[in-house]
Amino acid sequence: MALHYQAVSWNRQKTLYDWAIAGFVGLYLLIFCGLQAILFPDVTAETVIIRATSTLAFLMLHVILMIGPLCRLNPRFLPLLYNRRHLGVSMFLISAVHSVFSLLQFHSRGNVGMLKSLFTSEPDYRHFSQFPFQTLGFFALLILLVMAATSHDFWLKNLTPRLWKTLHMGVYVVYGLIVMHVLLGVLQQETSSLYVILLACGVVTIVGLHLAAAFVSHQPNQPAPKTGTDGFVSVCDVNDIHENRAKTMLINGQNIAIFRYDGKVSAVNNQCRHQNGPLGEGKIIDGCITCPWHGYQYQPQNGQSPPPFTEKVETYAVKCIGTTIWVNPTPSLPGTPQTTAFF
Amino acid sequence: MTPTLRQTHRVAWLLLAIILPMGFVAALQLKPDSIVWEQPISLPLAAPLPVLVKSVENTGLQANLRREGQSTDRQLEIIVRQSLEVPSVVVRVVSRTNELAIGTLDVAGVYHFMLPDSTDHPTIILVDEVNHVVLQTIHF
Repeated sequence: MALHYQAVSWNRQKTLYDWAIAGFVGLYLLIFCGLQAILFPDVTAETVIIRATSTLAFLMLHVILMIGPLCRLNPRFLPLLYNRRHLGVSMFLISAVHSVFSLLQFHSRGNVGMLKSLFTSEPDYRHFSQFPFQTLGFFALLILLVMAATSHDFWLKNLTPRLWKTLHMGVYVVYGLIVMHVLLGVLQQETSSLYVILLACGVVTIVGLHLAAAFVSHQPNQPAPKTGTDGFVSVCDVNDIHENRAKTMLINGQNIAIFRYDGKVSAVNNQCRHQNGPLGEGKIIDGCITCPWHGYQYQPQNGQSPPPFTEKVETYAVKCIGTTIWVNPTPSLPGTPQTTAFF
Repeated sequence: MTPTLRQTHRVAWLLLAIILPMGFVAALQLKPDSIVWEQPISLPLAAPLPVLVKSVENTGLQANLRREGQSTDRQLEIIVRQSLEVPSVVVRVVSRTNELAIGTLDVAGVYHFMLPDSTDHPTIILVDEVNHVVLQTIHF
């Protein structure tokens, strides 16, 4: 959390995360280039760079796409989500190096411009068998450029989390384009079936994880089992919620997270103001609801971030009758204090 | 994530789960049985004839006129030291009536071409056939 925009708000975890990214990238390039020099001594440096950066960026894209569903399936992966943005920007930069070297190697020696050559030098847009695979890579890079350029919190705030998140779902389109870029490009020339098997494993893993996470986290609009005359709805027993944790409910279209802590119960909107992260999957740390994605915090009794921060989420009236929790699903304005419900 | 975005996310991955395997299978069907660049693309280099008649230095290359003993056969040897920056270079022998193409030059290296007549003073031109430009003229 930060009050002002900075290029990067560093903290220990971000520094460690970025060192891990840099270490992995360096190690991969070293091993890949070393193996290329041994196995293919006649290959030029430009070709080695094109190969190394393409495989590295594609591998990183797989890791990036695995983090989201893994976190939904198992909270132990949440630390990987914390600074995923830097992983994404690093992947874009490596893809850009691949693209620049490919343009220079394959499109800079002609008597037409490089981009014109890119779009016109390959066979036929009308037939799948001759479709120019390089244009698929070009458009994937264009989407990645937009995503990398808007990855800062400044854009998140000004575009609104909803639009920003929608924009960044473009990574799914990128994945589809890159898989076809590989299939119609390099795999048309490679004779070894190892590459086909590796790509198939990658696609099955990514698609399988996302479908599994979607299935597990699918939460239908639950019908209210018991509605009181005062608008309160009986939601669950207090013993259904672990201490300092939450239970999430979708009631009348409201995404509600009900937290239990210190003998009390509070209910807030389940969406973090930062990136619409699932607050109900976080826990209460130092008396504050803590978003599992990036650590944004809110006080459970009023939905306000602790001073000096200014983020607020909607709150809901809660009461306990015996051990049964009742919630009024009509949201109060963000940051509205609610009477604490004791059990 | 809002329920709407989560729904969009679900639909996006369901679509990818259908489209990507289809693309996978379709693209693998296209794989050619043999790879073009694994086939030999040029004949083995002819051996140079033993007697060097004349030698000429031009920009980026050396041209030698060779023969075998007292035979009337003449061979043109071109040693390309620096690659010519055009996609297609055709070697032509100029006579009074026509310009006969005898071969092409590619990357830096040694090339041998048999000449059509026994003159010791042939004129050779290197032509960029794509742009119809004479790149060099070699006089023996």
